Amino acid sequence: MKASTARTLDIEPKLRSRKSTLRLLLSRKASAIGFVLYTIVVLAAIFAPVIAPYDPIKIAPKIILHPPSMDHWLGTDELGRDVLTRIIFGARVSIAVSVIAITIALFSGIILGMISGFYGGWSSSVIMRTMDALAAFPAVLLALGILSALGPGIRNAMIAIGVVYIPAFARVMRGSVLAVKQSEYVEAARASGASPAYIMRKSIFPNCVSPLLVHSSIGFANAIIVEAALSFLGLGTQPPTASWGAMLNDGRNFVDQNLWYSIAAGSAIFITVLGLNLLGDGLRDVLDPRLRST
Amino acid sequence: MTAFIARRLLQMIPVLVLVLALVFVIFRLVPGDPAQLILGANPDPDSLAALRHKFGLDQPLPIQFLKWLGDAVQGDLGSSRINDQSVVSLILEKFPVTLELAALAMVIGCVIGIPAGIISALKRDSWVDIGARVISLFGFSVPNYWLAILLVIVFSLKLDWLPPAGYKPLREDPVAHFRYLILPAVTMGLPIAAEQMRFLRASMLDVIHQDYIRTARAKGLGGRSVVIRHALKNALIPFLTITGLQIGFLLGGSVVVEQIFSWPGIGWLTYQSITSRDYAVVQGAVLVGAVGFLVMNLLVDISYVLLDPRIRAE
Repeated sequence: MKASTARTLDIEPKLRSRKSTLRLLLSRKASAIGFVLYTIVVLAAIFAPVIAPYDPIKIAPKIILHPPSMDHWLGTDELGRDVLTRIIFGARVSIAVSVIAITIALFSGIILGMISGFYGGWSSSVIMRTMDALAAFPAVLLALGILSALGPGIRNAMIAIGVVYIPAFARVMRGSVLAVKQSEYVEAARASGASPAYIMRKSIFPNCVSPLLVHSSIGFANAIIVEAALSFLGLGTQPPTASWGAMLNDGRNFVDQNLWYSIAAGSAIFITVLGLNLLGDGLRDVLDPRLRST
Repeated sequence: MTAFIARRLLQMIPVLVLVLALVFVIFRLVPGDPAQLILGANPDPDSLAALRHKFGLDQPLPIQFLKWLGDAVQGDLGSSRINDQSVVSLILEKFPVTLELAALAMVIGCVIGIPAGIISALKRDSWVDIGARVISLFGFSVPNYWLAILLVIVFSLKLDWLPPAGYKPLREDPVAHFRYLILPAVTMGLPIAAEQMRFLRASMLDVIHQDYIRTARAKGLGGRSVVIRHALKNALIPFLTITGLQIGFLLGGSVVVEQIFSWPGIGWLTYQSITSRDYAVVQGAVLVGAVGFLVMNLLVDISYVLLDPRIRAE
C-alpha cells in the first residue's frame, strides 16, 4: 500500500521504454551500425572456441610469420599461431576486462554517487573531493601507476581500470540523484513514510539508469582502449593469452614478414571502440534528449 | 577577480592533498618496502632494520604520509634508485622534451580541428559536414598507439620519408630533430583535432540559433563578421574547457606514444621507471600528470571569468 503510487509511476514507463529504446536505437543508421559491430565482437568472444579455425596457443615452428593464405586468412605470428584465431580469442580478453572493470566502476560509482547526492553535507564533500582527486589523473597513467604497484596481469588490470573510471560514474550518479530528489514522487514516497533505503532503491535509482547506461557504453570503449594500452606495454594480459594490445605490440616488429598481424589487431580494437562510440551516441540521443548531440 | 582566483586556489588545496594521499597509498601497495627493494631478496635483518629506520619506514603510516607530504610540498620527491638522481631534477630534465611534443600536437590539433568545426557547423548536413563528422568519429575511436603504428608503417617503412623512432637534441641537428618530432606530434594531434571539431561544431550550432545572432544578421552585418565576432567568440567558451583538459593530459606525457617513438619525455621516463621498478620516479611522474591537469583546470576556470562577463558579475 505504502508508496505504491511511487512504484507504479516508476515502473510503468520503464517497462514501456525498454522495448522502444532498442527499436529507436536500431532505427538510426549510425547506432544500428554500432550495435551490429559490437554484437559481432561479443559473439566472437562467446563462441571463440567454436568459430576459431585453430588453437590460439599451440606453437607451430614450421609456419612462423607466414603472410595471409587460404589456410591462414591473416597469416601467422612469430610462433606460428594463426593470427585470425588469436584475434577472435583476443575479443574475450577485451570484453571480459571491460565488462568487469566497468562493473567495478559502476557499482562503486552508484553507491558513492547515491550517498553523496542523497545525504549531501559533509559525507558528500569528502566523497566528491576524493573523486575530483582521482579524476585528476590521466586514465592510462593512473592505471599504469596502480598496475606497477600491484604487479602486471589481467586481474590487476581489471582492478586498475575499474578504479580509474569510478569518478565518472559517481559524478553522473550524483547529478541524477540531485535532479530526481526534487521530484514530486520522491516527496510523495517520503511523505508516505518510506525509509531512505526504500526511496533510494525504488524511487530514485530507476530514474538514474539512463545516464548510467549512456556512460557505460562510453566506459566500455575507454576500458578497451586502456586495457589494450596496458597489454601493449606488457603490463596487462600476459602471454600466451591472446590480447589485441599485446598482438599490436608484437606485430609491429614483423611488419615486413606479415603486415596484417599488427594491422588486424589494431583494426579489432578500432572496430570495437567505434561500435561502442556509435552505440553510446545513439543511446544518449534516445535516452537523454537534453544531452542530444547536435 | 583576485578574490575569485584566491578562492579557487584555496579550493584546490584539499584536492591536491587528496591527490598526494592517493599517490602515497597506491605506492604503498607495492609488495615489500623500499628498504627491501634496495637490499634484495634475502637481506640481513639488522641492515634492513637500519635502512627502514633511515627512511622512516618504522613509523606509523600517517606519520610517514605527513613527512612525505612535507617533503613533496617542498619539492622533494625522493631520488631514483637507479642513478640516485633526484626525482624532481629528472622530471624537470624530461619536461621540455614532452612540452615540445605537446605544443606541436596542440598546434596540429587546432589548425585542423577549429576550421573543421566551424565549417561543419555553418554547412550543417552538407557533404562537407558529413565527411568531417565521419572522419572525426574515426579520429575519436582510433587508439593513439594504433595510429602511431599505421603512420610508421606508411611514412617510415613504406615511403621512407621519416624516421620510425628516435630523438636528436635540437642543438645537435635541428633538421633531424624535427624529422623525429613529426610522427609523434601527428599521432597525438589528430585525435585532438577530432575532439575539438566535435566540440566546436556542437557549440557553434548552439550559438548560431541564439537571438543575438539573429539580431546581428538583422542589423545587416555580413556573414563573416557575424561568424567571427558574434558566434565564434561565444562558442569558444565551452570549447576552452576541452582544450584546457587536452593540454593538461598532453603535459603529463603520453606513455604509449613516447614509448613507440622512443621520444625521451616524461611518458618515456615513466615507462622506463616502471620496468626497472624505480617507484619513486613513477610516483613523481604520476603526480606531475595529476597536478598538470589540476593547474589547467584552474586556468580554464580563470579564463572563463575573463571571457564571460556574466560569470564575472556573479
